[in-house]
Amino acid sequence: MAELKKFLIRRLLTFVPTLIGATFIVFIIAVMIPGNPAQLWAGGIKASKQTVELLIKEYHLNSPWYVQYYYFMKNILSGKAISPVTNTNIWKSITTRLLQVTLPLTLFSFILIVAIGIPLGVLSAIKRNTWIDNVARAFALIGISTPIFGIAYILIFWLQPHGLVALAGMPLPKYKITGIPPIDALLKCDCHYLLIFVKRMWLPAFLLALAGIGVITRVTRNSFLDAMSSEYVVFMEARGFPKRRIYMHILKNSLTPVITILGLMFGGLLAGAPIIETIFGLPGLGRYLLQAIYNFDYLTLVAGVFFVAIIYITVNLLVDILYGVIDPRVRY
Amino acid sequence: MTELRCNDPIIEVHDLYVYFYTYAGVVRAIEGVSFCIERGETYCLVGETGCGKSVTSRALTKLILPPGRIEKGKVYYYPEPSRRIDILALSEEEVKKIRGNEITYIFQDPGTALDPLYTIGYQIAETMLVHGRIRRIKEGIPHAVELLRKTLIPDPERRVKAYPHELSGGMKQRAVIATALANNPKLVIADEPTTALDATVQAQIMELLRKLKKEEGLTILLITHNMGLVAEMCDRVAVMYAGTIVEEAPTEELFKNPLHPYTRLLLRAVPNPLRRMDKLESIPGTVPNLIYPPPGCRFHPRCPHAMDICREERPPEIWVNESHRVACHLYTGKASLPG
Amino acid sequence: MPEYVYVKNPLDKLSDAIIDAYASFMDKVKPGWKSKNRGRIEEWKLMFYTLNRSPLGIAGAVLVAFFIFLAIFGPYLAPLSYRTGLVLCDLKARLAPPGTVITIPHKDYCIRMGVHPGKFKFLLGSDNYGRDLWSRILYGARTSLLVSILVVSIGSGIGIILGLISGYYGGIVDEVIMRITDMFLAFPGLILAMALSATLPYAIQGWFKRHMEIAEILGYLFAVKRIDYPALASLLSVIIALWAVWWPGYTRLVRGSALSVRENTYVEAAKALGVSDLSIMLKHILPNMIGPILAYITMDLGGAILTEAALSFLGLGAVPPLADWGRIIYDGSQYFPYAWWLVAFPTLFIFLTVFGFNLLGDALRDAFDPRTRRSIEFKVKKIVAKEEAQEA
Repeated sequence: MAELKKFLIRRLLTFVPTLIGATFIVFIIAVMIPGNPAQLWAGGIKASKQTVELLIKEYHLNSPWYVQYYYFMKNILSGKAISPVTNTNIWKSITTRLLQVTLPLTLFSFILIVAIGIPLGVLSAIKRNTWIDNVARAFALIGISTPIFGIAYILIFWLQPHGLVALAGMPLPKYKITGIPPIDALLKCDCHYLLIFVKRMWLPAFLLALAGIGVITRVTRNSFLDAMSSEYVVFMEARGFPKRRIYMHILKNSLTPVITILGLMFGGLLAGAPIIETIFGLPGLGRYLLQAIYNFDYLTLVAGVFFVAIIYITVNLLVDILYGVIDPRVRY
Repeated sequence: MTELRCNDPIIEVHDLYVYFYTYAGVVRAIEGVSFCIERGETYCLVGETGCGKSVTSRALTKLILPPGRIEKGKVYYYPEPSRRIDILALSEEEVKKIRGNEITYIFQDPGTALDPLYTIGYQIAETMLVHGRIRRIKEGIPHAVELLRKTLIPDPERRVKAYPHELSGGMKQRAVIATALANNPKLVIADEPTTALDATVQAQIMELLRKLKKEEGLTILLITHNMGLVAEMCDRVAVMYAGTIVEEAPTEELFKNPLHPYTRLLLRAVPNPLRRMDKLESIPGTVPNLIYPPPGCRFHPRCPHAMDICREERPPEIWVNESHRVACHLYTGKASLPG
Repeated sequence: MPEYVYVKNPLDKLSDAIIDAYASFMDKVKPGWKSKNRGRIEEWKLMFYTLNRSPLGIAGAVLVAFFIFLAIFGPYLAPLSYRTGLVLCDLKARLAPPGTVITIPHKDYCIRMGVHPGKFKFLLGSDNYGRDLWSRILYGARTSLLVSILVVSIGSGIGIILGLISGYYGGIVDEVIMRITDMFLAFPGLILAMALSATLPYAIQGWFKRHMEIAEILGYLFAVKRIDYPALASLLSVIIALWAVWWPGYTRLVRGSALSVRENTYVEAAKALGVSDLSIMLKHILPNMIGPILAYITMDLGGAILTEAALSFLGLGAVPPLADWGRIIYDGSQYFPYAWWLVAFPTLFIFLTVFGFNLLGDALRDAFDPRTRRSIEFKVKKIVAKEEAQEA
């Protein structure tokens, strides 16, 4: 346990530089825009001189870039930053969209990936070189190769007449515990809300998960096959273990690479959200950031990247801790 | 069919054939192996790497994984002198009840035989659990401590909670032995149990096996390529060459009076504990390819006494006295004995 | 007793012929090459035998070959150019379903667009400007292939070099490179690429004005008409944006293998013999991991096509009127579900192409994996033995 504590402290020390670095990269890209951002924010050529001046002053646009960055980060972290384009509090707009839409969506996808990808990979490995294996492998490759933005339209068109997908409306429950609607509903056992949520979200979440399912199926299969050829499997056979028990041992042994990829994948899901949110009209963070990019609202963009990076780094920290739980040989 | 001579056999193997269906062709790993093991003795299978000793031992409980297949033969297991079980006729489920329970294995490399993610105690208890000796893993832990004590692991209460990587090679092998003993087996098959260990540790492990055999009344099938171990441990020895048993005799008899040319060469290639030797010799030639084994006697390409008949006909197994048999044309009466 | 008699299939003979031809070519350039690299040639042949034995891999290779054919010859095969809209010639040309035949009248403004009067058939339908979808898909193949090749070659190149340096030298160099890599990996690449491809075009357009020759070259490569050269800035910014996010994955991959290869005795031996670092990296470390990297690159080419199409779909990649598969879907989605063909056909083409690369990459991975290759090796050894017997 003392080891774990040391490890966590060490990781926290690298946490901050990584966050600064990540936001910094985006910031640098953003200030590369030629011309005057204040002019763009104020509404283009027609903007009044006064407004532009005001914006320049408020966002320190005439100062060197590091001063700009400092004020940006200070405002964002204090929760006071106001977007120059939408005139709303950035912290609030981002957190509500993240908690109410994007996080439920990505978590749903994540659950689908784990629930479909891992069993499919295990099945594929156990039935190696049979038609089941071939079907699973082909399915995995299809998942990786599918352009979700095209297939989404076709699936909506196909499923909507049957009432299988809901395309509009995502009411919020009346209560608030964690701020993440489906989790709150689960805590309150509000099946009615959960049903609405699933009906609205299953297709977007599935499409978002599709590539991930493919990747996890492949990784699980290969890792399971590797573990299957270990000597301890033969020794378990030699002790008369039932097949199911042996497979559980193999699964646990093959999990390390799988959770590594799962951790890395979480960020990919957050990044894939803009596409899905745009197609399905979900008012989430991805779509919001996309809008910010269109509007050159780089304050919002940097803040968005900041949040995404925090989630991403936290998830990967959890993965590293999980290693130690699964594998006693891991030393932090 | 070869006649088997055992008074009170625990296991009888009749004319066993095991083939492996690989891409390269069919590997005829075991062809026509017959032997029996007396209850309570230590029986040795000895031979070079790849001669089929391990495959034979695993076939005893149908532990042949694809692409391998037991083609032919009978394995009879006698839990008591009067009860006979035809192992190869049992279903996989039924064999599993015997395997790990009444007949258990000790493998060569203790470093890889245990699942690295579970504690020693858990794995011992699990072995008991799958054979219904206990209901929950927790119940098995005190038994595991007892077994670890029996296998002379110091501080067993602490070691029972250790993971395999926290133990040394010798300790791990003791833990593997404890696992093998978990269900009070009748027959323990030790497949090169000391090959992967240091020389000093080897001696300790063999000493342990001998002690356990006495205490628990075990029957041991020891598989080895080490003639020294054979001399030290075994009551009877079978020498295997390229998938066949070429000679079987009580240990002392075999060392004193080896009949098969291969056995003689083998004894000249290792320090003979019963005879003074000036120098060691190697056996000319190489182990044959078992996909296209030599016709007739499989040893004839390397045999100093090879005759025409050796190239054509497989030698039958002949009992030269009460307990000594050999498969060689030199002793079939069709040719004269060499001097 | 089943005997495994194996005969080389025509594909094996073809791959043998290709490798032999390459070997004799190299032998002419560098005398003695053939005898020096005998083992390597044998290895290549074995790899192809494995590949030839994988039906999915062959299917992938066929799909990829078809796509490359489209990308090279598509612009010449296309019945119309990517920007020719026939809606002015015949109103029926607007959002025409697949198979619609229109009649082009003898009018000046039609002929000026380079269309011959008479009947014209929209094989896969048309868009709201009356542009032929089939022609635009053909041009789009060129765009996709070029973007993915440019992205993956440069992106993986940067990543491989950094990974080699990082893994080979270790120490402080390794630490610095890996920290920066981690920083790039710390947030999702797509968002960075989105931000970059939204902001870069302005800078690139200005740059194009000063360096017309760059625009000329790109315009020729992408088969774009002179009038659309400014639009190329959008494609170039997508490519640059993807470079920025493509390399870290390779750096990780290569560093890991470089670390393990570095420990090998032959690398130490080479060092002791005074071989330069650069030549150890290129001649001893890189060849040892080239197999997995090649398989990875093949699958990555598909990934780049998919990512580029996704960016274009979000309106951050190719701008109109350039022909780009993702952009066609984006523009067509506004007329969905009526004009389903504008979404369905580009989707199908993207899918088949990416699927092809993934199938091929998957089979290549198997071919490079010694464990799966071993089974084939046995067979091939038998062939060789048989051939030697025949020659003797």
